[in-house]
Amino acid sequence: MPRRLEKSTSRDRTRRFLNRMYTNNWLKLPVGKVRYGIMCREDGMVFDDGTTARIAEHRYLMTTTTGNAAAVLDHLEEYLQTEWPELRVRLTSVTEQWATVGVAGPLSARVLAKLAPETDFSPESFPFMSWQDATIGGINARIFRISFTGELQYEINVPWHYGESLWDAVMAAGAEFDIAPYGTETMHVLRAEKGFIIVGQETDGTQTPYDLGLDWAVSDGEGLHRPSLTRAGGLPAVGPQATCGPHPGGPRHRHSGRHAACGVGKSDPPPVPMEGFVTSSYASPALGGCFCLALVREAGIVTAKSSRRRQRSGGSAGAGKDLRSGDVRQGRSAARWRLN
Amino acid sequence: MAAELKLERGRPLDGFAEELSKASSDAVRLQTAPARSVINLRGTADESLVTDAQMALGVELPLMPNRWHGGERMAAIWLGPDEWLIVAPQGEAANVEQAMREARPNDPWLSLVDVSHNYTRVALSGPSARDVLAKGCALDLRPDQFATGDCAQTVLAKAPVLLRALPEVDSFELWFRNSHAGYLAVWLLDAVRF
Repeated sequence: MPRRLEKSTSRDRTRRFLNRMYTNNWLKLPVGKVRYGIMCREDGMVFDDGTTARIAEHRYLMTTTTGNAAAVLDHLEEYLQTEWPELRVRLTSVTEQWATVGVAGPLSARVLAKLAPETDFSPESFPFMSWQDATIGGINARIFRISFTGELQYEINVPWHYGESLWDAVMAAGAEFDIAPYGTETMHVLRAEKGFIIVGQETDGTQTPYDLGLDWAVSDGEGLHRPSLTRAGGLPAVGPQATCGPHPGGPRHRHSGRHAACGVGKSDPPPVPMEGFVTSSYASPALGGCFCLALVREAGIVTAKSSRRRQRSGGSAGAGKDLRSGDVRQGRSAARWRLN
Repeated sequence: MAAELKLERGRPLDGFAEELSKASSDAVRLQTAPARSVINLRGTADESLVTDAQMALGVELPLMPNRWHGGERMAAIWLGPDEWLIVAPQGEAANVEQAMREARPNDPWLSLVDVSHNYTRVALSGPSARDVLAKGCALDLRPDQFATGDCAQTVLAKAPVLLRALPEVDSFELWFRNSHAGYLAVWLLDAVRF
C-alpha cells in the first residue's frame, strides 16, 4: 500500500515546493489531476518516486515508496525548516488515515460503476491521472485513476476503518466478472513488464533519473537536483552506468544481482568485463521464460542533451518498453547485451 | 446492489476486546477508547493563534512542549512547535476545520487535516499502569515527572506511540497506528501479567 502525506497550505507556495523537491514541473497541475514525480537528493541521485494529487486549491496528497514514507517526510520537513521556511508549507502524515483498494484490469471500470453509481467512469469524464470525490456505500471516498500495474486501474481511498468493509464490497461487486485478489508478486511482475521502477530495487542511491531512462520526468526548473545534474564536469562515475529494460526469453528464472556481461561469449577468457547487473527478475508464463530489469553500462545509442547525459546515461535500451503492447515510451535503440 | 450497499466501520481491536477486559485487574485496567474526531493543526504558534483557537474551539492550544489542554469533549495535544492534535466529538472534524478557518480568514499558513482514522487508542489505568508501560517505554513515568496534562510522543515496545496522562490518577491513554494495534494489544496482554 502506498504511503501518504497530505500537504495543506497557502497561495502558490506548495506547488513551488513540489517544483523544488521533484525533478519535473509542478506549476500547472490543476485541481483534480495527479502527476508522477521523481524526487532526488541534492547530489542528483534518485531518492523516491510516486504520484501527487492536487486535492484542492492549496492542498496536495503525496504518495511515496511504501517503505520510504518516514524518510521522505523527514526529507521534506528538513528542507522546509532549514532552507525555505518562508514557504510555510505544512505536512501531515495521513498514511493510516486512508485505506486503499486497487482495482485493476480491463473490466475495472465496470466494477467501480457498481460501487459508485453516481460517478461517471467513462474515459472522457474520468481520464488517466485524475481523481474524483465519490460516495461508496454511504461513505465519502476518493477514487484515483492511476496505475502501477500498467492495466486500467482505479485506487479507491476510504477512511481507514472502512477499509475492510470496502474490500468485501469490491469483491462482491466484482464476483460477476470473476474478480480475484492479486498479491505483491503479481503487482511486481506487471509493473516490471511495463518497465516501471521501484526505488530501492532498481536503485541503490547511486542512479540519476537519466540512468533510469526517466529523462522525460526531468525539467529545467528549480529542482533540488539541478546543480548536481547540470554542473560542468559532472558527476564522478559511480559503478555501472545505467540502463533499464525488460529482457524477455531465456530460462525461467534469473537471480537479481547476477551480473550481466556485454559483447562477450561464454568461451571468452576471463576476466569477463562486467557491464551491469540484474535488479529485478520474474518468471513470465506469457513469455515462456524469465524477464529482467537490469542496470547496464552504455547499452546503446543515446540522444543526449548534454555531455553529462551522454557520459552518465549511456543509453536506456528498452526503458519503458511495454512487453504487452510493444509500446516503447522511451524510444531508444535496443541494447546488445546478454546475461551470462 | 449499489442501492443497499453500506460500508461498515470496523475497529482493529474488535477481536481483542474480550481478552483486554479479561486481562484487567484492580492493579491495571485496559480498555479500548471510543472513536473521536481528530484534526492535525499546523500553524505559526503565536498569541493570536492561541486566542483564535480558544474562541473557535473552546480549547487553549498548549505552547509548552509535551502538554495537553482540555477535557473529555475537546482537547488540544502539543506535538511540535507548530503542530497540535485537536480532539473533538466524533463527526465534528469538518466543523472544527470550518470554525478555525472562519476564525482565521487571513491565515494562509494554517493547515487542518482530518486524521480521525489515523489512530487506535487504548486507555490504561490503575496503580500498576506505570509499571506496565515501563516494561516497554524508556521515559521516566514517575508521578512527579509525568502526570495529568503531560503527553509525549515516544516508543512503546518498539512501536511509535503518543502517550497522554489523563486527569484521573494513574490513568493514561495510548495512541498508535491502526496497523500496530494487534501487535500492541498482544504486547499489553503479556505486559499486564506480573
